[in-house]
Amino acid sequence: MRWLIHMWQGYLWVQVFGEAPERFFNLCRMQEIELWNLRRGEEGCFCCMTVEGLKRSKYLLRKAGLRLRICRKAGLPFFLYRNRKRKLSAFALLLFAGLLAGMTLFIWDISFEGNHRYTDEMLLDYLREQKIDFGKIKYRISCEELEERLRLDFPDITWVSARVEGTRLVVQLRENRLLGEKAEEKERELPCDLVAEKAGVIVKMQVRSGLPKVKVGETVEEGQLLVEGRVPIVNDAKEEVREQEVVADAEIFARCESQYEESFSLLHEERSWTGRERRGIYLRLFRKAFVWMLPKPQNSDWEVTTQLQSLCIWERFVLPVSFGTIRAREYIPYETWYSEEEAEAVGREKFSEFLSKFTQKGVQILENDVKVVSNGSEGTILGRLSTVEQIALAKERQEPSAEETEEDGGE
Amino acid sequence: MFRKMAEFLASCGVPKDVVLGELLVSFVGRHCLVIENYRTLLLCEENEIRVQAKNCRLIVRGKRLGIVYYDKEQMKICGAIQSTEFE
Repeated sequence: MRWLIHMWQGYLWVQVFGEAPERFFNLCRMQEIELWNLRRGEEGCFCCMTVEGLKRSKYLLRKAGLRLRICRKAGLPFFLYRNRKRKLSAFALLLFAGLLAGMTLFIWDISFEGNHRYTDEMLLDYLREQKIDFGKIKYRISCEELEERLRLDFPDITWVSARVEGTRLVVQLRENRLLGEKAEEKERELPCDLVAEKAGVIVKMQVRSGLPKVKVGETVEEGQLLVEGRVPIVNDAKEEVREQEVVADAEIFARCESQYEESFSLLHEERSWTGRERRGIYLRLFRKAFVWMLPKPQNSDWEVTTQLQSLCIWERFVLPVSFGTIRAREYIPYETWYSEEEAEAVGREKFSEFLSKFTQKGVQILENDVKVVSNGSEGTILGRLSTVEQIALAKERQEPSAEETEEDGGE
Repeated sequence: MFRKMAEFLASCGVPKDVVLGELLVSFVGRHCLVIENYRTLLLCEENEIRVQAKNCRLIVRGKRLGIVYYDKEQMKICGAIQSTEFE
């Protein structure tokens, strides 16, 4: 901070001649004259001081019996004075500053955070439809409106926040990771029961609405009624007078055992690198992209990777210029078979992907066991899972059959 | 009397540099040194800097020594510090 003040106000590099400059330094200290960067060299003592300090120190110099020589003048006032005749440079500098200031009024970068199902490209296309794109004036973007539109047009997005940071539009969102079906279940209005989606042993249950038909610790079969979508209304004598149909709502967790089986081909494509490379340059100015790269030879396959970097002055001040390098490597594709070890590794990777999807749905995995069997041209993943998951599935209430109604009436 | 009062305050937990005006020396690595509560600068050479404090003198020896800044409160010395000595 001191350095900035000194540069702004201008300062002097001075050389002090004479014996015992320490006396002068102590006098300056007592008079609160600022001196810094004191250094003793072979040619004498050097230090920095302000212009005001120099004026005030003349008397002290005489008192200490020293002489002073200005070696260099530094800082903004001296720089401007030295370049007072360079009007064109000053104009260019002002123009540059004006351009930078003008560019801060626009959006030059859009970033998304928290999106998994909706890719950046999908969301960018959507924003383009909403007339929000690179180069849009900042004050014409209503973040509240954008948030509302995103929530309405993407039902799977449960929370969204949009804000403008410098020249960047940041959209943060949360997606509903549960299956779409489960989201629909919540919107049900017609009376319904809850049945078991899977067989298992109930470990935890919390009934919010309806009549529970099972207890914790009970083993249930697939399709078994768990919560009935009716509430009996009883009189003072605790006799059922009538019943009211409701939408059954409960969280029922059960320990389930399930099997997993998936096959995959052991024949796969590999790439053999020839060692030939092509390199190029990529440049994006505003919305236009330019690529400088030699064309690829016919009948050859290339893997292209591009490294892009946006030009930014500060973290939040992104400029509409991106540049990067392109690297293309030639390869020859060929088909080969997985070895037993490779097949095992591929199978285990696929199984762990499957498990991660399961975990995302809120399923707790207690145990898992996997085995990969290679059989000729195919590999089979055989897995066994022990999980704790929600098994309640909404099912529309069946109307009581005619026989049942008659029986009731007869009684 | 003052000395006794100062010692009493120091025993109560009040820092000695505040009560007795003792010299406070802080090292930042081996290339920087901050001195507080000093009185005057006695000598400023390339290889030696001497500072007078209330009760003692501090001698900083090294190579390419220089005073980055100094004011009424503190002084910062930078360079290849080799030793410090009290006299």
